[in-house]
Order: sequence, then C-alpha cells, then structure tokens
Amino acid sequence: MQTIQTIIGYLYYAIAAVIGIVIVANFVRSRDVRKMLLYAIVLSPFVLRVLRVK
Amino acid sequence: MADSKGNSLVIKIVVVALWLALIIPGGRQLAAHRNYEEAVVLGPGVTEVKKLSDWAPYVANTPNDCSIYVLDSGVPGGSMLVIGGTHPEEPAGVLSAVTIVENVVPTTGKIYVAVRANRSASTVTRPGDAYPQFFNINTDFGKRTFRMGDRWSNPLDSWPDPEVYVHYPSKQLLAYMDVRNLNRTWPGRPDGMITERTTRAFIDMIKAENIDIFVDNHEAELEYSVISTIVAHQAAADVAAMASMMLSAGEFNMGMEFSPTLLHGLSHREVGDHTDAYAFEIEVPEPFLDRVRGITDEALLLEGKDEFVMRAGQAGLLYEKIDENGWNIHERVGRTNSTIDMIVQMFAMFYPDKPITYESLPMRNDIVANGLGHYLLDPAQAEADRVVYE
Amino acid sequence: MFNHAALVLAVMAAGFGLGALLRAGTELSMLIAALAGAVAHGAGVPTRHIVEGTFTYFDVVLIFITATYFMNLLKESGGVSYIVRSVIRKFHKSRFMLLLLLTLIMLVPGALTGSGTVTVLVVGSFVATVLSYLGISRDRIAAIIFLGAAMSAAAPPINLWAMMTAGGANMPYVGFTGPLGVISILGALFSVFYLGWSGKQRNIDVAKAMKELPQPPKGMSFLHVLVPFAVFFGIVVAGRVWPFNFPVVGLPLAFTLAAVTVIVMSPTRLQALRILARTVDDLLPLVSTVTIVGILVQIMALSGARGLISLSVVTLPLVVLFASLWAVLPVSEGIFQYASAPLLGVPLVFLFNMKGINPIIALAGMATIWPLGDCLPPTAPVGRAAVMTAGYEGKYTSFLARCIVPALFIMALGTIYIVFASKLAFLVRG
Repeated sequence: MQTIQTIIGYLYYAIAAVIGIVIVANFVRSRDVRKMLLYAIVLSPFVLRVLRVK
Repeated sequence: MADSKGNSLVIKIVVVALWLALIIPGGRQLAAHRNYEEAVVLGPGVTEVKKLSDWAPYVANTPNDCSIYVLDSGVPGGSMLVIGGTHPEEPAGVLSAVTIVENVVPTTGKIYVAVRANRSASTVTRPGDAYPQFFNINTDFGKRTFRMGDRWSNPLDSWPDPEVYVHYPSKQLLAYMDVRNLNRTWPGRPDGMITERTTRAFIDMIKAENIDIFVDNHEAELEYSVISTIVAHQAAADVAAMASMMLSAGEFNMGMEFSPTLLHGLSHREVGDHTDAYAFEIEVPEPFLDRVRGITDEALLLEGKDEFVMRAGQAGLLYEKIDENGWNIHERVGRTNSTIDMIVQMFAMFYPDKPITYESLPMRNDIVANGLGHYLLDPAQAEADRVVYE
Repeated sequence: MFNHAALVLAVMAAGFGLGALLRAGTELSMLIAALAGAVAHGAGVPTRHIVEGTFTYFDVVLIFITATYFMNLLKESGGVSYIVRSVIRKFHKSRFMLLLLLTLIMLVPGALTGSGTVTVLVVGSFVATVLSYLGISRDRIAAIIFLGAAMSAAAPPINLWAMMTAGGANMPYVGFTGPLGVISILGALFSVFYLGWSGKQRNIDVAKAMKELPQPPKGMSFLHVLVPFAVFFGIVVAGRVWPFNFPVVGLPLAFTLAAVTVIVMSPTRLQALRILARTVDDLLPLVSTVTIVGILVQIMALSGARGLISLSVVTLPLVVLFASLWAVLPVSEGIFQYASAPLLGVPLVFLFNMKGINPIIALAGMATIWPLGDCLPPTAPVGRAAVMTAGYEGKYTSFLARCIVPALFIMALGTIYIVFASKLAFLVRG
C-alpha cells in the first residue's frame, strides 16, 4: 500500500508539472497583457509545488 | 493589447521579470522556513535522545520521525509522555515541551517528551491565514527563534488528500484535510498516510514503554468552548477532576471535561481506548487563533492582545475572558506546565505505586515572574552533542 | 486597530475600483485591491504572503482543471453527443421524466466533488442541449444549470462549505447527510421544474433532434462513455467502501485517470495536449479568480480586515443575523468564494453553539445558501460557467433575474433550517 501511495504522490507532481508546462506554453502564445499577467499568477503555485518549496 | 510581435515579446519579458521578482524572494522565504533547523538544548535531566522510529520502523526516513527526549531518573516509578507540537500553530504546547527538556531533572520514574509531535506540520504555514513564519523568545542571552507551523501536516509530505477522510478504525467521516491533523488520526495505522502513521507510532511507543500518563499540549481560540481545561478519557477522569479542582482553587481557573465517547480520532479518546495510559489534553487560551482576530503578526502570537477579540468578549461570544493584558506566552506556557505538574501529583495520589517525581519544572508563577526566556538554554553555549535540531 | 482595519478595507475597495476604471477585469482588480491593502497595512509588497496566498485554493484549482479536461475529452471524442441522442430517443415523450432525470444527473458530480463548477463542466452542456430541445429559452437553461450545479455542490456527501466550517470549528463532519440531502434535493427539483416545466415545446421532435445533433464518430458506443465514468466513480466509491484497503487517490488523479481512459478508448485519435491547452485557456478566468482570491484573503488576514468583517457579522443581534444571512452568505460567497466558510461560518458556528442552536442543521442551511452566491460578481465562477455552457449571450443580469424565484425558495428553506435548527434536529443522520 505504501508503494502505491508513493507512486500516487509522484503522479500528483507529474500532473502539476504537465499543467505548469501547459500554462507556460499558453503564456508564450498569449498576445493579451491581462492574460499574460493572470497566467503568471496562476503558474506560481504549480512551480513552487513541483520544486517542493510549498 | 500588443499587436506586433516585438511589442508582445517586450511585454512578456517584463511580465516574466515581475513574476521572478515575486516568486524568487517569496519562494526563498518559504524554503527558509521549511528548512529551518530549530535547536533544542538537552537539559541536565535528558539521558537519551531517541527517534520515534526506534519504536515504529514505518516512520523511519519520514519528516515525522521526530526526536523523543528521554529523562530517566534511574529510579523505578511511573512513566509519562508529554507531546508538544500536535498543532504547531499552538506554540505554548511546543514551548512547554521545550522547557521540560531543557530544565527538568527526574528523581523517580521516567519522562518522555516529543517537542515536535507533528514535525511535518511545523514546516508549513497556512495559506490564506498570513501566519508569521517564526517567533522569537527573548532570553537571558538573546533571542531564541522557533518555527511557527500549521494545524495540518505539510501537503509536501502528504499529497493528495482524500475527498473525505474516513477515520480508522471507526469509519467516522471527517473533513478531508483532517487526514493531516495529528489530533484526528489517532490511533492511526502503520500503512496509512503520514499523519496516521505518526499517531500509530506513538501508540506503539506508549504500549512498548508502558506509559502511565499521556499529555497532549494544546491551545485554543477563545471562541471555542473547549478552553482553559483538561480534557480527559473517562479512565483518567478522577485524576483530571482533582487536578482541575486543585488548580482552580489555588492558582488559576482550569476546567475539566470528559473526552466525548463518540468523537473519534482525538488523542484523549483513542490513547485512552487503545492503550493503558491515562490520556489528558491540556487547552490554554490563544487569541491568535480566533477568527475575529485583528492584525496577524508575531506580537499577537506571543502577547495575545487583540482589540477585536476583546470586542467579541464584550459581546458575550467567548468562552474565556480577555482584557487589555491579553494572554501572553509566559502565562500560557506557565499554565500548561503547572497543569502537567498537578496531573502528575494527583496521579501519584491515586496510584502511589507509580510515582513520578522531578525537580526544576518551571511553573506558572516562575515563568510569569522571570519570563519564559529565563528557562530556555543557549544553544551556542551548549556542547555540540547536547544540541538537537528539530 | 478598528481604524487601521477599516482604512485597509477602504483602500482595498478603492484599489478594486481603480482596477475596474482601468478596465483591468475582475481578477486583476482584485489583485490590485490586495496589493493596495498590503501597502496600506504598511507591509509594502509582501512577496511571501502573495506567493503563499496563491496556494489557498490550489487543490480546488487542480480539481477544476482535471475535471474539465476529462469532460472536454469526452466531448471531443463524441461521447456527449452519443449520450444526448440516446436520452432523447428514450425519454422524448415525457417532459416530467426528462426533467427528473436531468435533475438527478446534475446532482451527482457536485455531490461527489463538492463543486458546482464540476457539475457545469461535466454535465452542463449535455443538460443544456436536452433542455433546448424542450423549447426552453437560453436564459432559463443557464439558470437551471446554475441552480442545479449550486444544489449539487450543497448536496451530500461532500459539501465543502460545511466541511471547511466544521474543520475550522473542530466539529466532526458527521450527521450532515440527512439535512443537506433534504434541502438540496428540494431546492434542485423546485428550480428545475419551476424554470423548465413551462417551455413552449411539450415533447421533443425526435426526428428533428436526431438530424440536428452532431453525429458521434463510428464505433462510438455506450461503453465508451460508461467506462471512463465508471473509472472515476469506481475510484471514489472504492475509497469510501474500502477506506483502509484502497489508497488515497484524490479527485484530481481520479479525473485524470478517467481522462486517460477516454483517450485510450476513443474511436478517433484525440489531440490530448492541444485539448489540455484549450482547457487551461478556457479556465483561466475561473482559476485566476480563485488563485487571486487566495492572495486577497491572505492580505485581509494579515491586516486585520478579515477580522473586522468576521467581528461585524458575529456581533450583530441574533434577529438581525437571522434576517440577513440569506443575503450575507451569497454575497460573501460572490466575493470570497470558499473562503467565506472559514471567514463567516466558523464564528457563526461558535455563536450557534453558544446560543444552544443545533449547529449541524444551522450549518447545513448556511451551506446550501452559500453556493447560490457562485453566480454573483465579482467572482461568479459557476454562474459564468453556466452561462457559457448554456450558450446564453444576453445580459448577465437577465440570467440573474431568472434565478431569483428558485433562489428565494432555497434561501427560505436555508433560513428555516437556521432559525428552527433545534426543532429540525431529527434530520441529523450519520
């Protein structure tokens, strides 16, 4: 059970990483300053979670 | 807004620069808190420092393999386990445990202390609540810095949460985040989430060491009815009632409540149900935890003065009184220590064959008169092998 | 301290107003309000608090994104159109059955996740399509979807407002199933039948519907839809049935696994990454709102502004409180989202306990009124999602007007719960 739970934990980091990358990609594609700012704010928790800071 | 590619690129660079200017210093502060090494100096009574995993290998190499300080008199008697830091946002519980480790010298029986029972929860502060990350206690030699923590284990150590937390073994349903609450996961299980494993480790330890008295240090918001009280398992009710009477008659008001039999996961219920130990929880007032509190800062955490909480009191909304003097950390730690001492004395009265005696426990009147810092040791002056980092 | 907190609140309001003047949008206006509040508090730009605040609703954000991704994949694969066609073929003769079925379908996702947004995202477009064939106007459809979603969020077993409040008040989340079930089902049925019964079209013209509805791809079958849902519900149910022998999977991963199932089973090849990018783009207003509300709440807690609001609420006389909660709760939800539960719910539960009012029933009443605020500005996440999903392009206020009668009915039920909490205590069941 512990092993499965550990794998599930890693999957969550993977999910956060993939969504984070998609947010970055959308940011790069964006032409609207407002959207850029919002993407930047939304990206913050994804980056810090994947880096295991928070 | 920006049409040309060049403009768009410039704007992106500016946004990225702003973002980095936010996330780098912010992230560094969060990391500094998470990785801060909090010193505990081994007082003259500490004979050994063990790890929780010494009793429960399933918490080895986890953030919650906390230190267990052993104060062994060498003279046969009773045994007691005091845990601080069940909820690291309640600093008096932690500091009470530190004063025991750094001051107490046992003369009969054995005392075990966990300063950071849920170490993981001490490495995170609660999003949305603006807690200070650290608090400093003025001492005779300067400041001692401690980590402020949360009520729940760090999500970095326990991710994900279930959609609803089903308590083991009662199957009682609890809020999802309470799977990370050390006072909702007793008696725990060795293959559960980290907080459930931690409580199970303590249960295994209590059984292995035949602990007689178990004390869980807490603080409570003044809006909450379980405050300035000892909550006791029914088996420990006589001892708690006597301790409450003695304290209330002699020093300060301290109530006594029975642990509800149908409310599961709490230490006073499950430790009492699953081990032979007499289980007690001590609750002293902490205005910082009140939802109606004003400015959230270190001063409120340590001095416990708050106009908004006072106004709530004037409106009759509180279960404990508060005036302009507030509830300072000296008073709160002092009351916790005096209550522990009275529980030990009353236990000895009921069970003279299991005495626990000691010297130098700083009591409420001492701490209020001399300041809490007077009873904290200087890590810089201690020999390297007498300092442990939590 | 009173003056300080009031000043911070005023500066925040001015910051929000400035943002609106600059046409920065609700989300950035709230961010400006938070930053202005921090400066007014004397904290400068508190980077740690801002960054920490973005985590306040991080779990909710993950659920939003993964659930919507799952649903978008199901749409792209043709699964939704397949189900819509099947339901219409089977029940086109009975308006009553169709409305009842739609109510139940709407209640399930939110009941299990605690999120009205998930209901809109998972079944909203499907419900909207069927309702449109019943001749119901777009504004009514949007209102039905919103109210169904709000009641699904209120429905047991998962009601996040009750759970967050109970958690904050150190009260077990037990005994809510009965009270929440009764009020949310009554609310949902009333809303759907009040708004949906009187459409022009009594029955669905099957031939016309079948002609107009998009054709699912070849090879699509009931199983292609059923299996991904079974994966999702299987995981959720297994966690409840065998809580000690099944790992903690969590909703975001459960939705992700369901999404992967859709990708694997789809008769046509799905562009999974492109759909994810579009999902994140669609959700940006919602996700950024929730994230920035987290920052706002953190700055309000830091500066005492949060305390001032909480204090003002709990020191109101009980009669005034009873008479105003039906309005205060939705408005606070519109501003603070889920944060309104710890902000107002916890002190109110303490207050109820002190006054001898049954806190479970009273909280169940409050926790059913709260989600109604999800259609109110500045955030309005579920309302906006419902409007988008229903394809309603008129004025937002006209949509709100459509919601008023059923919302008042639900608020009345909730207020009855709060005022007569102790008399309704018989509803409390594990």
